[in-house]
Amino acid sequence: MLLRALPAFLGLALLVTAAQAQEEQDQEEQTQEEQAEATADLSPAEERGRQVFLAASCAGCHTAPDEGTFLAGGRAISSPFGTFYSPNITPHPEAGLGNWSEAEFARALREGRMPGGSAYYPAFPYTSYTGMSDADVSDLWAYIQTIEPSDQANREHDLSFPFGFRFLLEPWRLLFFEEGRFEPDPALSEEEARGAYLVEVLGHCGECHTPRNRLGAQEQDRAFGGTATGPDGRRVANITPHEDGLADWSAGDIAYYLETGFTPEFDYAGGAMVEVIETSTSQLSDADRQAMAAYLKRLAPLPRE
Amino acid sequence: MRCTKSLFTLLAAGLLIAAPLAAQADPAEIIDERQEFMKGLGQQLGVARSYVQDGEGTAADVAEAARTIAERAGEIVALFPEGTGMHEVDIETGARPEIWEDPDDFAAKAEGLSEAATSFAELAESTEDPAEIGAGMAALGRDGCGACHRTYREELD
Repeated sequence: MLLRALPAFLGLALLVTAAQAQEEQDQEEQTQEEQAEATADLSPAEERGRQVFLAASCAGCHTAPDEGTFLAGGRAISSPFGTFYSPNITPHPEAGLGNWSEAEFARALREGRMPGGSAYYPAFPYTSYTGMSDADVSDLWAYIQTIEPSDQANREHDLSFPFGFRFLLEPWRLLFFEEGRFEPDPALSEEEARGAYLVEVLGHCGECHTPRNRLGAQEQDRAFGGTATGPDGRRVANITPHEDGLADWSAGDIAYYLETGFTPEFDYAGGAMVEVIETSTSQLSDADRQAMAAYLKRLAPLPRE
Repeated sequence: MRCTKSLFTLLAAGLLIAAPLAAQADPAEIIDERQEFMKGLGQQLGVARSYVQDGEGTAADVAEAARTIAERAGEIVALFPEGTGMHEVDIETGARPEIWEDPDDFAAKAEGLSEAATSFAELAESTEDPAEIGAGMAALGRDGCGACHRTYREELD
């Protein structure tokens, strides 16, 4: 049973990202933006943490649509294994992270474990966040403290048999989760290394843009090559500098797309990428978008699969 | 003779009715038409981008382009007849099935594009500042294009 369940599990991280786009509402976006901007009087650490928060796209999953309370969770993320409900990450002592220590917060992000030790489902992209720097985790923690606490209770995931058994995550982690801080390739320039960190770690772009093998693990030799059968059976773009991908795009084109959603021909992003642009990349600094673009231009060009 | 004539009339009448229907129902044609239509909207956006980035043209050109988008947004719904979704045809199109699951919302999003483009036109009529116009163009993308694409358009490839 375990062997049969595994492959399905392994596809999780990929599949859950999918359902997001359809459930989105404009109002949710506005609410999120207003609330994110309402935090005008932030300390330097909190403001840096807000930048980490935006780059890591936290709000997209941790806020429910239709004017859901900011970061109070409850967003349904459907998958073939059932429905996941994102948790409350406001600093409420019972309903949220209010009683957590910073070390527990760091462990959740980078080791994928709850304070009690249980593993998170990879619907939570800790496989990417594991690379987060100590400083970013610390700043993000500081920013989380500035969020209005919400007492909204977490909703149990509604998973079909046997996916409700968290112990099945342990073999998955043994096979496919490598914990560790991000180390940039020394061949990269400072800007490219910053871009690599934003693309690989905080932005968790590979969760969708890298195809998975039969067992649902990311195929690193096909990194960022896109797939026709991505989350929810949806197409995900090849973002390598191959002619099937972004070869014709300059770094400036990529940065402009991340800022506005417009392609060089003034087509506009589609699907889940619209949400990524709205909640994350459009709100980053020009320098960070340029860094992401510079790194994407350095990727190994891959043809469409 | 009479019989042949009737048959001929019947056939002719049939053709008269069938021809426009067939033309309308040909997914390849309609998909081609709507992709050209969308590219046309993109060209109008190109006018705005040229002004913001390269200082080409005038703010009045941008306003005119935005008005064109606002007017043409009314044509969008008719360009998405049933049977032209991405899973229904063997043609490359990003038209998601959700379009036909909630046609009222889809129509509302098209109307939203018209409103966003009108706001952008009004902005370009009130300022010549490239930075402001650039921000207005981004807002048009978010509120006009993105609001619809997030649900109804497959991710680009």
